Amino acid sequence: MAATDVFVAIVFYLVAATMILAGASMVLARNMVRSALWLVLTLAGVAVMYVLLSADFLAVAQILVYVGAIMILMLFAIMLTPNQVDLPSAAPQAQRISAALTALAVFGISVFVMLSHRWNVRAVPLDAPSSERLGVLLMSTYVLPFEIASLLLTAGMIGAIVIAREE
Amino acid sequence: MAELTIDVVRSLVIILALMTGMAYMTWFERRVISRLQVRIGPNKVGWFGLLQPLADAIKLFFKEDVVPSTADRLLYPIAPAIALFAALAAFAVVPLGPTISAGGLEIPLQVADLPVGLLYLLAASSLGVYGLVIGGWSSGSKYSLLGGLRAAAQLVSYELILGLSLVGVVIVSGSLSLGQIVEAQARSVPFILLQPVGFVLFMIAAIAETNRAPFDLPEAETELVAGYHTEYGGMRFAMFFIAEYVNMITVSAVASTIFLGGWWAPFFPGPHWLFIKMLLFLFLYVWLRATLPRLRYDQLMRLSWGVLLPLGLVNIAVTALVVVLLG
Repeated sequence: MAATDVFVAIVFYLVAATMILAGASMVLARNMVRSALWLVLTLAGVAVMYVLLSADFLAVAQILVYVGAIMILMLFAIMLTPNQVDLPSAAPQAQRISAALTALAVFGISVFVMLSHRWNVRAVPLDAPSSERLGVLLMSTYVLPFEIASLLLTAGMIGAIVIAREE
Repeated sequence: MAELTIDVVRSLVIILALMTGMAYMTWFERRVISRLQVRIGPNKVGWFGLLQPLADAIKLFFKEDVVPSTADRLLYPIAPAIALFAALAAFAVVPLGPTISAGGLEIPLQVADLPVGLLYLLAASSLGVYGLVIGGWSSGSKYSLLGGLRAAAQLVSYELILGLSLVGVVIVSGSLSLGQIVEAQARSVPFILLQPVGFVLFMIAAIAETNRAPFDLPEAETELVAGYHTEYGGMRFAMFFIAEYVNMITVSAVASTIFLGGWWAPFFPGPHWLFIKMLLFLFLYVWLRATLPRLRYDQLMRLSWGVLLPLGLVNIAVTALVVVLLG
């Protein structure tokens, strides 16, 4: 038991450090393709975190949706706009200040919520497949939010098609 | 400790088997395609040309490593590695046979029977796209970039079809684990009989996912030189090549497992049955390549979004309805 705990701790800190570095590199990179790829690394790190929490379905869904679909489409869009790949210069002074303030505010609120909320912590991670229970919950208790989300996505998709057809 | 040793040894054996299998898949493909085109094919190196893959490997290994001056220093070398990693990782959830016991140890003939095995397969195949897209972009050549863009658009479109075709199987079997899908077929019939539409959708989408003819647009040699791997040579090219063939082997293994019962058979079940079923699909790959001309880009997209997607949705609705009505 102790050996696996140490192993989990090592993996957690390695992946956490990688995610922070990759996140910072994503913001600082001048090249948009590289920036997107740093974001891919950060999102993949989230999947590893899910694995450490034995949330098998969430881990695979994270890779499938964020890494496999959304980021590929984002790369596709960046590569189709060749003049935008290298960002020419930094943002103006006023934008920098407001961006720094916003970032600080988000950081402060996140830290406050993390420290002040009483989280439900389990002593032992749930070591059972989660996909079946998640599926049942989505189709019973949470069926209304689930359906609203899918309606929203359908509306978004139809909107995109309408905009694309205008040309 | 014994478990760890088993895990390591089993993974190494499977990787070596995939590499050997991939090498002989090239021989098989060249020999069969030659017969289909009334030629003889490679028959000089070794008995029936059986040493030809070895000669090819040695040649690729000793080639000079050329990096284009326009290439991205960091991303250009790691793109082939991503492609190969994703190809090898996908095979981990394929059950090769029943659990065998040797020396008091239970050894499952499968690297990992994940409860979300099918989703893992889709995730691993979607990671492979990065190898192609990054390789195409980082080469700094317009042919490579066009190949990479085609790969991104094609794989995203066909991944959707791949996922939809598998939902029917999940509804019928009630599980996402490949081991349990084999067991479900052992109890009833191979799912190709219950999910014929799903099977056809899966095969079309899987051939498109592996970039094989008639869906080999990302490397269309008549228009894009060699597409995303135009600027690659030597072992780096070989890694892309190995990844493509390992993906074909994985698709054959998964198709056999999901639709033909995998290693299970009414008599003498075991890994040899999986091998025989895989050979059928590998032959299908070669047969299609020798028979069908390449699709045009607009035809490719229309097929996916206009024909296969509605068909997949109807298949899911009908399957769900029948399962509910039969209880």
